Amino acid sequence: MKVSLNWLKKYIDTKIQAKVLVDKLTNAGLEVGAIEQKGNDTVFEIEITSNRPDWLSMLGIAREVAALSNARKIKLPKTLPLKIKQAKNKSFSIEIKDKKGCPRYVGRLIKDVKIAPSPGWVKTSLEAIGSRLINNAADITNYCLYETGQPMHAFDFDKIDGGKIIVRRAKKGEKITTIDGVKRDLDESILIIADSKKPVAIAGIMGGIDTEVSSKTKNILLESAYFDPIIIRRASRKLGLSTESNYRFERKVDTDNVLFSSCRGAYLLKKICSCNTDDPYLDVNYIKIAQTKVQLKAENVERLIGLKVSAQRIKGILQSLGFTVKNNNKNSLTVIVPSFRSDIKLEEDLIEEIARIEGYNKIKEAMPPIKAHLEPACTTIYQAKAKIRQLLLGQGLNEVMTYSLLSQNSLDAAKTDAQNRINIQNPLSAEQEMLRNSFIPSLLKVINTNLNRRIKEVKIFEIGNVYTKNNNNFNEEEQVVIALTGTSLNNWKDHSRKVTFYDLKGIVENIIESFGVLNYRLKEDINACFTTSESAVMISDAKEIAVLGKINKQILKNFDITEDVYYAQLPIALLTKSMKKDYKYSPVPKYPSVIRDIALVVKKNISAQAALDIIKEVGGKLSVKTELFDVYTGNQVPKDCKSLAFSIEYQSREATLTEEQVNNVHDAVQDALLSRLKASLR
Amino acid sequence: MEDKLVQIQNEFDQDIAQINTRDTLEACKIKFLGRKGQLSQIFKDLSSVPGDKKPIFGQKINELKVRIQSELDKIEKQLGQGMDKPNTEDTDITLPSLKKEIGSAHPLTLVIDQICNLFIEMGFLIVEGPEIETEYYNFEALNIPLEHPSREAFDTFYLHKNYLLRSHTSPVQIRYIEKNKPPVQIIVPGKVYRPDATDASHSFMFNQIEGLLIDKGITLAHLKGVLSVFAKKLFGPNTKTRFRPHFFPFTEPSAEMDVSCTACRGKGCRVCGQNGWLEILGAGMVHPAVLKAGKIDSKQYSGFAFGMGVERIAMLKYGVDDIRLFFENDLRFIKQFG
Repeated sequence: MKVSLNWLKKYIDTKIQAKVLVDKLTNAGLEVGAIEQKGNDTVFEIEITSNRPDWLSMLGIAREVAALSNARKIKLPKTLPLKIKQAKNKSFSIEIKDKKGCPRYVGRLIKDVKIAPSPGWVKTSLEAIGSRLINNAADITNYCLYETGQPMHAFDFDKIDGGKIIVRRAKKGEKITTIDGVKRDLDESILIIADSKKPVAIAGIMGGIDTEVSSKTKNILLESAYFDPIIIRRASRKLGLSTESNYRFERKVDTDNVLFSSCRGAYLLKKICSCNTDDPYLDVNYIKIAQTKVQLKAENVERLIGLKVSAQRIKGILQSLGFTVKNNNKNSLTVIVPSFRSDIKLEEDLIEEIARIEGYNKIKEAMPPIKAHLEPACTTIYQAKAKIRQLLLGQGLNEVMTYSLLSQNSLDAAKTDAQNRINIQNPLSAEQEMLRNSFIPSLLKVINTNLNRRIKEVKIFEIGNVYTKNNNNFNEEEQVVIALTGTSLNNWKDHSRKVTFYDLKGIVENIIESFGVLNYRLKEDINACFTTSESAVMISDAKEIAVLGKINKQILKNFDITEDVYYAQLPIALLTKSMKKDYKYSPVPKYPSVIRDIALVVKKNISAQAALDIIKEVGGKLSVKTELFDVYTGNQVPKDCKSLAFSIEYQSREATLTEEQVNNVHDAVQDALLSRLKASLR
Repeated sequence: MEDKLVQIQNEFDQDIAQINTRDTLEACKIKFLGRKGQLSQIFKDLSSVPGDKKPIFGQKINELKVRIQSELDKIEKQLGQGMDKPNTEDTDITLPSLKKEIGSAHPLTLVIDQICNLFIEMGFLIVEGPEIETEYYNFEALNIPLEHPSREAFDTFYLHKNYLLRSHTSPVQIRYIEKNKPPVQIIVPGKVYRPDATDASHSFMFNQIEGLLIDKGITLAHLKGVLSVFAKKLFGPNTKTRFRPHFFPFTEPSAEMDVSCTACRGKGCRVCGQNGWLEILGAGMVHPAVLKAGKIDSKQYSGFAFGMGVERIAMLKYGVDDIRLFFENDLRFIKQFG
């Protein structure tokens, strides 16, 4: 909100310098943003928090300044008399049909107005804070809004059918053209002001154009009311219409202030529009809000803020802020909350007021007592993520972070499961319409971005969630995902080559082995995202611990990528479940090992795994390690065959193996390989 | 026979010049000295030589064998001493190394890690919570009433019925104190979501770090103490802090913490809008309603909570001027960090 220093000075006698005031306000929770010099006036932009509607007025700010400058009282502006005999008023009537929606309505008739431009001082004040000038009557309602915080409205009384004001909900199909010239559809959720025939204003938000005060207006009906915050808020959102008026109603105006402001407005109109304000006002449906009383103990102030403040000082601060304070005894107070402070309900709320006015900078910093925790500083999952991150960084992968929300188009383009996606009900754009159920679209976008910028090698990983639904149960799963594309080796010595499935497989193996998972197998799999020949799942203990493969060409095309992309995903929770709790020593073998090589010629469809399984099975405990050191296809073997060469290490834990023992086991292994795989020796 | 011997000798001379690894050495050995090697082949051919010439050629073959053997032994010795090439003059130590490049962590991860570690050093535990939340945890339990303007600061993506994407990490406060009794001392990193139009300083997804400390006798003085130490650890020992009253529904009293501008050290510049201070985090004493949601007696216990945006801190620390850079993932950007 914009605040003019000259305007403020109407209510408080202070010579305070603008710069000092800015600091004081900021340190009291009224954060001053921009400061502007306008002639001899200084205008501040103050950020008002949503709990302080009373600060949305010059009087509210003045009250704060008074409290901050050693409790001087503010001067209230002049008004017409507040207390009058409520004589029967015959010239107009007010009927409140929605009593909850409008717990107070003050209306008064002001006759024989002369509509003209506002006088200089009104102009200067409103211009200083950037409020648009209209005419003297409309300007006065605006002036009062900024001065007292109470929004008001002036109707051209002669256009009010039947001279009757009705506060009610709109009917479906009713329409109103508001003063901004827009025709608006109304419904039962919207509170309106109507005359005997038609809506004349959207309550608390904007008046209708038909009853707007114009240069021809003779008589004004001045409205000052309290409208229900939630009703106003809903209507404002529904209509997409936000004004200075509804901004204040939504945050709760002060019911006591409704009449004060009416009398202030009338006083100013009388002064400026040389009109007749003799008609008594009508104060209708005034549902008084019960006074809030809060008990406050001086020691609790120190208990919460760590600063000792005397009961006397506490009392002084609260009184300067408009509270009524009574001593129960020396250190215990009963505090009566003024009607403009609907935010105060608890002792803690009062303690904040004391801390605010004393200044947070008076509170000395202290460290809490040290606690030793038995539990580790981070959860197993968190540790696992840190470990995976280090491992992948060490293998040359870069970490990325992508949006969890994506468009349906990008999920479709990556052929992710269409059944389990979660929709966002209120996205701002198509880019945010769904939660991702796979990282593939996210990472392909990153790859596309980088390849387009001529980065040849994109090796990336991300740790984050995918989100799925099952009926209406939502699930989020934390995964580590990897994508590789481009060259794998690129230096002056070795031949440059493209990444392969085996590069990806190696990275995945490193991750899972680092968690102590050694009993895994890779199985071929069918996956819509991968090419059929290079699509696999990694299984351990009958659970899928990783999915890996080569992204299929169609998907790559959808993302404008011409390079091959290899992708893997691993759910983190599964990894941590198999994580080794601790290490256990087993003696290093004492006896030497013997290595025997064997080169087989097998049909191409025989997997290396099949051979490895046979070696392990037949070699038993003695075959401690097998390495596949060569794969060959070409002229030296038949066309439909390949050659696999293994190096098998035999070793016993009990004794040095004799030549004969090694021969026996190796021969058995060889026989099994040849017969079961229909292989020949090369 | 004579020609054949010369041919073998020449071929061997050519081959050993190429030997630079154990593998090539081994291949050469097999080629000339192996069971099916060239020398055993020529020994076999010896049978077809006329009888009187047999001893002469036999001796010549043996001489060649000895020579080959000794040459190869010599090379083997050199290789054994760790020289890949007999000729060491060919190594140019200024040629680029064959190192495997190490990857870079994402800058936001670096900042999250750094901040979390600073708090671990002060005795906090890292805790995480779900991103898909309910109205209860995201709002009600945190004393943010339905249809109240205070919700405006927390515009939220809705999923279905009362399910939503958390708009802050504070729901984890409630989830934690439901299950853990004081003393509580946690730090909570995580992603949060708000339907904000994206520009250089706004993102609909960003990272927050939340902190919560509840114990007997905790005051605003402790809040100031812990957070000032944090600011000095993060931005340097000369960092000044300023605490201003503010409003958050889940704390009372509430505060915002400013640090002296990281760019101008408080003199006033473009980064801090000329006032010398940068707002870094929101904090406050835990509201009694929040303690109640965790069944903690606010007469016995008190605590403080705080929350900060990771992207903002990363932007200040690293001088990044557009939040979108963090999510674009240009590797030339990422590789500048960690």
